[in-house]
Amino acid sequence: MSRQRLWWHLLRLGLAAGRNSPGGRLRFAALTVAATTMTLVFMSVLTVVATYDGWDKRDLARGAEMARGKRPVVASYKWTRDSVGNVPHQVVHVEPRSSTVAPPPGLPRWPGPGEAFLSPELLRAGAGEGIRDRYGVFAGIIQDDGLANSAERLAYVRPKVDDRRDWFGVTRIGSARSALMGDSRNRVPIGQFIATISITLGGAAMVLLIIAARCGSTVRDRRTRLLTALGGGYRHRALVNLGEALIPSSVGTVLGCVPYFVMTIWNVRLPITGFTTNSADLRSWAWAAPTAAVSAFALALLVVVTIHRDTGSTQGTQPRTFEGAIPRWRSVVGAIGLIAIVVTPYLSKVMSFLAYVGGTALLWGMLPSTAGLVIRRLGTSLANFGVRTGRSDTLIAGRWAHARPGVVVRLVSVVVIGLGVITQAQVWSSRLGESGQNAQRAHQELRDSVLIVVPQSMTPLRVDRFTGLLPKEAELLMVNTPDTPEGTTEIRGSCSTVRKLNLKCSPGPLAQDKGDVRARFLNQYVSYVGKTELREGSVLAAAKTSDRIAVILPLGSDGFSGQVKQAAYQSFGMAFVERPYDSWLLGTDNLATMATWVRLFTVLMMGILLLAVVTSSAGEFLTFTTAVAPLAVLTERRRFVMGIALWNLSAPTVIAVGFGTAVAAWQGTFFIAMTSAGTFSWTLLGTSALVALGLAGVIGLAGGLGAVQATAQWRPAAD
Amino acid sequence: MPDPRHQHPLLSIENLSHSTVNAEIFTSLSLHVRRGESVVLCGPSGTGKTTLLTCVLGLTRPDTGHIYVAGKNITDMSSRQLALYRRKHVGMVFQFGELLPELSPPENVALAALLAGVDRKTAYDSAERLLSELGVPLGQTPTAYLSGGERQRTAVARALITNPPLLLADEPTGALDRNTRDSVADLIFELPRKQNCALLVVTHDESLARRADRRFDLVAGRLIGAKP
Repeated sequence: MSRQRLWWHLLRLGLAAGRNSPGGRLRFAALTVAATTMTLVFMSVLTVVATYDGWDKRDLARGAEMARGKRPVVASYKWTRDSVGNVPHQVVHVEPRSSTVAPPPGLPRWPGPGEAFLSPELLRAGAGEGIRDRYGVFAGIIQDDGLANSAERLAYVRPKVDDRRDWFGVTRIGSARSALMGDSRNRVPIGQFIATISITLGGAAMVLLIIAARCGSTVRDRRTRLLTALGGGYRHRALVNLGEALIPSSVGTVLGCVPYFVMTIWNVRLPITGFTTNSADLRSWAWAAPTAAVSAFALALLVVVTIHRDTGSTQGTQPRTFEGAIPRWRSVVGAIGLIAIVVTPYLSKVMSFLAYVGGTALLWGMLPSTAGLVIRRLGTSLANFGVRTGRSDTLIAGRWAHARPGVVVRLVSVVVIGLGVITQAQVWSSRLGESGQNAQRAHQELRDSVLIVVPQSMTPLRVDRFTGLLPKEAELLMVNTPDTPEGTTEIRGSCSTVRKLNLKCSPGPLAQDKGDVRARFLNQYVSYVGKTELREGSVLAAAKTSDRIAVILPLGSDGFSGQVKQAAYQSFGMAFVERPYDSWLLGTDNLATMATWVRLFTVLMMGILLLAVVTSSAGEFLTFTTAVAPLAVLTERRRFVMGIALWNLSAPTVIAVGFGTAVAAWQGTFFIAMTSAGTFSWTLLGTSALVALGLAGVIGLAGGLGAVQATAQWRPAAD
Repeated sequence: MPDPRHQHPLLSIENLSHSTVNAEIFTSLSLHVRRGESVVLCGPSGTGKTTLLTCVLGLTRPDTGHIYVAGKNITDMSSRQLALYRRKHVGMVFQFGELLPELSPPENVALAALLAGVDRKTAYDSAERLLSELGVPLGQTPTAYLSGGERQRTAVARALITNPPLLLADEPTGALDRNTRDSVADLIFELPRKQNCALLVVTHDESLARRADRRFDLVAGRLIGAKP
């Protein structure tokens, strides 16, 4: 046979083997899923590259270069911060100074005086706070080409003000020599992002690929040895294996490309993070998609070929009937890990951290062995139950679980550790620094009951108008900041306002520390270094000398900030409004954004690993069930193998979900109690547990259906 | 016991023909096996002996011809009727036993009865009785730890637990050494008389074939009778 014909023949042999070998359908599905996952990882990296590239281009296009020297000023800019709920966003105040200068990208024109353009995400998120009219007349939305990403919250506002102190002269829009704005200020470096995807999702996808390639390995190992015995070399074996993997890998690669191409048509909001992809960015990199897809496809084939080398040994590939005994010391070490976690509150700070991390590692590391012991015991109990009741499925499932707990142990371990990792990632990333925690506490106490307004310019007339636009429960205090930080900050308000702060009204300075929590916070907030004096006085009279206004609302009241902000913009043309704790609370937003990405990657990674274990378990289960096939066919009880699958795979997984949820909840709440920081998300744990329960059902059904099918195909064959 | 030759056959294969896409496996094949009688079907590998067994089991539908078991034509039966037929009328011993190595011998044997709808107590009692009669140690030792002969005896016990009138065996001693083969062969060929069942054995082992009441050779798709 010519070399070319042999090549083709071996490839066709592999294709036929893929169709006809026992468990072929399961392996086909496993390889398809694995190739899909690997392609998705490659496409995710491409999506990141495309997104960062588009982001950089848009950043460059909207970058405002500040005027230096004698270069002409084309516009004036002032950047301020605002927030919707507890999520901050940037407000770019603009004033064109040249009739020829083009508006910033994303805007069809410069906003007119008193007009504002808002990003779609800001408009959506702030709908409940009336963001549309907060900064003036809504002029339209900022198009995608003016936003770092489609989920960016940004506003371009042209306030009706004459006084533009502290504004910056801009000499050019569309310059690299500009300050970062919007979401670009908190962007993670691209290398870090891609490395995270490669390690977490890429690593998990590789595990899945290896397991899928080994799925039903008994048949292929036998074929490999046969080809070797017939004089076939590495190249011949590789061709057969390639032929077998060609179709599922191709199908998987095509499926893995679908999400990328969907994202080139529509902007897609990612779950958990809320980040929205930009279809134009992805379209501009669509040329690289085939390269990414072919790379993923080639990697899938390479793994299949590489792991089916002839090892020359049959020992490692033959299924063993009984697994060896599990050393008890592993359970003891696991128990030591548990004790280490429990004693953490009684140790010093450094020691408690080490004990917690070390204890967790020991507990999770030794879990498979402990689970093995438990599964063996439960297997015996289940088999005894089968003997007592005459149930064949529980008898076989129990005996298998006892003889070879490995299949179930891997499943159980991934479920328990997976729930633990997801919970730990959530609680660790929910931790805030000390100032963040103080801000959280202040937020819980004050809500919107104290709001500080910093107007661009203040006159008694404007203050009067502002007062008229405020909710009727609102009271005003005027704040006069001294010229030097050490000077005394004066706060003036009417007697009725002072009394509402639980203070006695008297002619001299009032004892603020005797007032309620609002008075105390106001005292701390308005002056960092110097003294503060609260005095009774007329608000309008004080307006001439004051530079800030404190709006006091009933203690614990919520939902007023939107109305106060809108009133401030309408009255003063431009104003900065914040709650006393905002600068700390909103500063944690970057951490919160990171936390959502950590959560997304953790959930995806665990999902892929779970898929890998499901594939592995279903494959191994199929090997077991070939033993039952003759009996099932002769007695025509083919469906009882479904019962074995549910008892052998689903039931232990359901128990593992219950156990894993309990351990994760205990460890998570324990961590929160120990560190007095962060929050525990029952929603995330509950959702993860429900997903794991769903997978428990899927694994049982997948294993069972595969076995029913294999049983149906069984015929006595002369050997 | 009456002479089997004067009874109606339990198994009657009449004018059976079967072919695959590539080859004709057998043509106009006829064979009758009575209760209390053992018949051996010999022939080199690849002549269709096992295919004939799968036809008798109702797992393969022949192209033409009929197979009667206890007077019923199984080639006309629906899948449901075939399932009932296999449960009630046929026991099978495989070359490699096809037992579940993790289960004990009584469990392996009782399993067949349980799946056939026998109640738990009867199934386990019968399993233990049969195993004792066949000299297989009882207890909870997994079948994987038994010797080859003990495993094959367990397989025979499993085939017998539903008291099938027709017993089929596909190379039942093919995986055993000489001594073990003889003891298992003694056991199997005693069964027709002890259990009053019909036995059809497929083998290419001449020493095994000599033990049967009648022996046929399947050559080029036709049965050639070597013993009356």
